[in-house]
Amino acid sequence: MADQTTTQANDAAVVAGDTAAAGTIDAASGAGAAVAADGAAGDRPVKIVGIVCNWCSYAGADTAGTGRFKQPPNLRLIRVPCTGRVDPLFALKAFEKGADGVLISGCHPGDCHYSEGNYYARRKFELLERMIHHLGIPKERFRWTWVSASEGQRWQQVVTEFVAGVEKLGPREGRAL
Amino acid sequence: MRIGVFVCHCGSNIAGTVDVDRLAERALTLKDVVHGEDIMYTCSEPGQAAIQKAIEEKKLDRVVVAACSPHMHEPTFRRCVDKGGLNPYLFEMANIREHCSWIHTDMPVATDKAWDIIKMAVAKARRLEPLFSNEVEINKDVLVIGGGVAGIQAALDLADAGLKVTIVERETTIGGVMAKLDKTFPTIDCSACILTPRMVDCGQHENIELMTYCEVDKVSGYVGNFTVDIRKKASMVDWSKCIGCEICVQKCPSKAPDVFNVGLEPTKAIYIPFPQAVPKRAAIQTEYCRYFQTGKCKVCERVCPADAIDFEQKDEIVQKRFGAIVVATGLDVFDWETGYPEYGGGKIKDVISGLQYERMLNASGPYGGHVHRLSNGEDPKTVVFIQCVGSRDESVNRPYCSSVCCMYTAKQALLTKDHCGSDVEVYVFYIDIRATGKGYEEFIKRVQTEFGVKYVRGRVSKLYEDGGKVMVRGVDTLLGEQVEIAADLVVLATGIQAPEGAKDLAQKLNISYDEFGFMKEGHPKLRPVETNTAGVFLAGVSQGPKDIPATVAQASGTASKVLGLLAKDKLKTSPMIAIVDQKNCVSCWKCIDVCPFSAPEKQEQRDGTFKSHVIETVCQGCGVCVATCPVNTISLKGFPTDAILDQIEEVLQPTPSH
Amino acid sequence: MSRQDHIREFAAQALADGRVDYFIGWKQGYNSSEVVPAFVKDPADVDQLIWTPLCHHNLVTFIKRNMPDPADAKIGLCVKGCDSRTLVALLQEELVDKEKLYVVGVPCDGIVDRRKLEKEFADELVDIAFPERGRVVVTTGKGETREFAQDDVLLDVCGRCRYPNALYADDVAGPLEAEPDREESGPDWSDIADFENLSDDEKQAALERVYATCIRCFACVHVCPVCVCWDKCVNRSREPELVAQKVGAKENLLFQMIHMFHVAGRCTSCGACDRACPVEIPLYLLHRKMNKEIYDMFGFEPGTKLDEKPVFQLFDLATDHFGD
Ligand SMILES: Cc1cc2nc3c(=O)[nH]c(=O)nc-3n(C[C@H](O)[C@H](O)[C@H](O)COP(=O)(O)OP(=O)(O)OC[C@H]3O[C@@H](n4cnc5c(N)ncnc54)[C@H](O)[C@@H]3O)c2cc1C
Ligand code: SF4
Ligand code: SF4
Ligand code: SF4
Ligand code: SF4
Repeated sequence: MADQTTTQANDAAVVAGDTAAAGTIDAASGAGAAVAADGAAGDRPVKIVGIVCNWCSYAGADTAGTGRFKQPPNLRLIRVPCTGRVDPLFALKAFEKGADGVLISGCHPGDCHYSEGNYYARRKFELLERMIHHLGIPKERFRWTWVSASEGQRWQQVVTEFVAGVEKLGPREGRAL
Repeated sequence: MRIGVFVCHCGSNIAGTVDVDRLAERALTLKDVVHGEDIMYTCSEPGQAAIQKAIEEKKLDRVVVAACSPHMHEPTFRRCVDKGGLNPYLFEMANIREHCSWIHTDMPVATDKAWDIIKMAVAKARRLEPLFSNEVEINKDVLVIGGGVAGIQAALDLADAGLKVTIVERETTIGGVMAKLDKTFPTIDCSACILTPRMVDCGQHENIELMTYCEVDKVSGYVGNFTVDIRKKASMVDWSKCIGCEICVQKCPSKAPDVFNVGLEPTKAIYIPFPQAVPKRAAIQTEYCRYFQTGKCKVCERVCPADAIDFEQKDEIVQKRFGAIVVATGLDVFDWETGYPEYGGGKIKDVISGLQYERMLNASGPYGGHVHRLSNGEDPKTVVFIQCVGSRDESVNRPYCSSVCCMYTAKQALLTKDHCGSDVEVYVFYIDIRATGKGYEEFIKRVQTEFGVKYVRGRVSKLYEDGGKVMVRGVDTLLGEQVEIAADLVVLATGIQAPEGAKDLAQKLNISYDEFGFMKEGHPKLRPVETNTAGVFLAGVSQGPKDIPATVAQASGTASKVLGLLAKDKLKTSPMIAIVDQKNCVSCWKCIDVCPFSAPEKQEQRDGTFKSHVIETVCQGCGVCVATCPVNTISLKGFPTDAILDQIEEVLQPTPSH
Repeated sequence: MSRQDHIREFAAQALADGRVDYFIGWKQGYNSSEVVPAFVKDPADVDQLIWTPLCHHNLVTFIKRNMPDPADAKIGLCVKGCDSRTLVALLQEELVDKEKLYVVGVPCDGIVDRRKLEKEFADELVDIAFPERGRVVVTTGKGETREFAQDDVLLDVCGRCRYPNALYADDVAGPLEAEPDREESGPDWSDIADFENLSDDEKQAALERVYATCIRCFACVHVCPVCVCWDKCVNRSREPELVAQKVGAKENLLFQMIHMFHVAGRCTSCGACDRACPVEIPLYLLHRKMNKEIYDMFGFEPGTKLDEKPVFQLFDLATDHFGD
């Protein structure tokens, strides 16, 4: 273990939990670190994966459509029966595959079509959000919320705000996840 | 695989913003897509015919329609492909109207997005499998738990429609709270006059079996096929012999608290709650019986003309099968003695609860309807009612409105004037008056104007005895001043709470309850009498406070839902449910923990180990278990994990902008 | 009587009584600088069993479902304070059968991190001796001998230990160790503070760098005492393919995140995964953070109370106020 390059030494320090050395990890220190600053990428439109429950938020998006509430075009929705069906992995997978943002939305607590699905889901989503941020994915790129079938206007507002937040950061490039 | 993609113009609804023709053509560039077509109105006759024709001619095995929301036309197109010879679940919809053309204005942008939506739908379609509904036999007998007015109404409706009904009631008689009431608002008709005939109907109905003095011990099974263990509690009286003559009650030397009369006057250790009880049978409260406490007495045995006393009787478990269960367990009155020490905590004799007052007013009650002071038997000159005792009060953990107290207080105030003469002073302390039913507001107005009952807006802070009176101290918030009234009798409009044991019962039935123990309906608006457990229904106050008209209306609603369920001989189950691939199940039971409906069960394998199995008729298809299973061995038919992952992947595939 | 003597006595007794079919403890490895798990079936063999600050293995890993052989074996085992938390976690979910267990709690004053010692020497270690409490004497193949204070070479997890005594045991090997006042101070999360303080870009860069080295040997998940999946791990599944087989930083990190979510509310921060990783990936960066957030969200420390359930398999309407 004597013949280490600087980079390896740094890794070993992290491994060993040597806090003083761990504090020195940063994007620039490793010669091989090919990670560019988040958002410092091209000007393609951002793409956002949305996962919504069938009964409330999907229907809320329908309501927004019926009301002709204009929205930015960056969101692609995946319909699932319930937010309880959403494995946190789906969001992580979307980031891995290059999503610039992930939005999850379901029924308000108490309104779940399956009565309890979103009670389990919200515990997971809260942890997911905190962990996503821990991975160095900025807060603005992940959101989970509740939109009911009647809240077309709220849906418009949620989408508009979220897309604006992601657009501010721009597309993600050269990321670890 | 041969997928057909149909892109709908929806007149100009879609075609106005999305380049429909180009998308239909471009769909052919997607893997497995062999047919692309744009149609003016896909949901119309000719549109559907075009799909069916393509299924036949192009041998399509998957169909994707890019049009409006699946909430709009998914059922339509499922039927359409079904008729076209394809399994209805090999169909997927791409919503390019509500989620695209209607919310965007720029044609190239909207077309790009619609393209992504179509690609995702095709990606999902590739993962779809044919699904088939199952049918299971159903048992048509119904269990009604609780024999209050709700249970009685539901049972009669069901029995009249020809179903066999069993009522399990934990007291010795049916009737519930309504049997204790004197008159009922807003019509002031006699409670017993309406209820007793219905109780008798229940007792005599050829389709109704009354199991009183019984409780539900255990419930297993699922909709259409419940197995229920019912505990027949030992009454120490052989009910097949007892003729309800009450001689035993007269001769019994042991006093016991009278639950029916809310503790006003004692009854005997052997008792029959009230003369119109159905069934009218005696039971011994052993903890008060001299024989059971000291080993000597047996007076009842000696006097009983029917030889019905049986000191050796034991609890007995009876197992029965049902297709549906109605929960009608009603209410308890808020236990105000512990909640409100400032009102004397039960130590002031002339402070009584609303339900006790009903018994005092009742001509067949312990006092023959004589309204008097319990301290000295005198007629009261001033009667004070206090509303919202144990309702809308966070400090006693009863933030909700009990919904009947405003009205029953007004009723009792009126009856006070009626019983004691118009010169008796009657005050009502209230927070505000909730009189939302038909004729209710008018009733309150009458009580205030015609009967001269004085309404004081404000809370009473303290009740205490002084000079033989009950001093009522409070604030009149309208005048903004302290008031103190020397009352002879104070009646607390005690609120409603879930009955003892409600949570226990809910857990046995695997239905949800709120933090106060009221049973939770499937959906407050869409499924108000169903629960989240298929086959279990709610009626009456068990679901939340309500008055008799609402209780009866709801009970009839419940009966019609049960009838709807049991009208069929077989139950068709939704195929969009979870299924466990047992070979990978590691028996961690997390699915069992999280399923809101208790659909997964431990199923014994040939080698004696256990693996999870989802009961088809119970699963509602939410997918919570699927997201929880660590080895991903549960899949949700219609929403398989690989389809979701493919959708994610497909949409994130970089596409050149057009 | 030393703790080691107690362990031997308890084991011998339980085997002789037929209370257990076999007893799991620790014994010397291929030389006296190493310890390995020991499975003792014969009361005559209990003298193999040892207790030293090298006994890092969490033996609870060996009693999880599918592990006991035969399946209904009655098993005795030693648990340190930290190990007992994983045992409690498994008991909470009824993943082990209490009736078939005989648990000897071993009060622990900290386990020595052999990797730390290795890094002190160019040569291989042949003997690690503990002449008395607190002293660690290391000898290398070339005969070099050096002494360390035990506290200086502890596993990082031991430096933060709040549960030196077993939370669940039938018998205890000697007097209890002094316990910290857990009411007064919550868990210590200082080990991840430096990482938390990095900027988003720095975090991504660091993760990319460390996870690029993972070789997907699955040692981390196999050694994890609360992982229930075994060879059924979704990371190997092709249908659905949750994680690509490609061994790249993204895929590796995703794989770890999956493991993390599967042990969410169940991981007791035992550190077994960290110790098992052959390429020394600091896995604690993820699961310690997860545990910190779970503690923050629910005040929940996995595996500390028998009557609790893992927090993601339940909900509480009165206290859950997440989301907007
Ligand atoms: C003081 C007072 C005055 C009222 N006055 C009026 C009025 O004037 N007009 C009006 O419209 N409404 C009035 N109400 C409301 C009325 O009493 C209720 O709306 C009505 O009684 C509800 O009927 P129910 O069948 O749902 O419940 P209940 O009458 O409570 O019947 C429930 C039955 O279920 C039984 N039970 C409970 N748990 C179990 C179990 N686990 N197993 C088996 N059996 C069980 C109980 O013993 C009971 O017999 C008044 C209420 C009170 C408290
Ligand atoms: S899909 Fe929902 S209802 Fe069906 S078994 Fe899973 S958790 Fe239960
Ligand atoms: S969660 Fe999955 S592995 Fe665990 S018991 Fe259920 S089906 Fe089996
Ligand atoms: S994830 Fe690591 S630290 Fe957590 S329980 Fe598993 S092995 Fe221990
Ligand atoms: S032990 Fe280390 S190298 Fe092996 S799979 Fe786990 S993280 Fe990767």
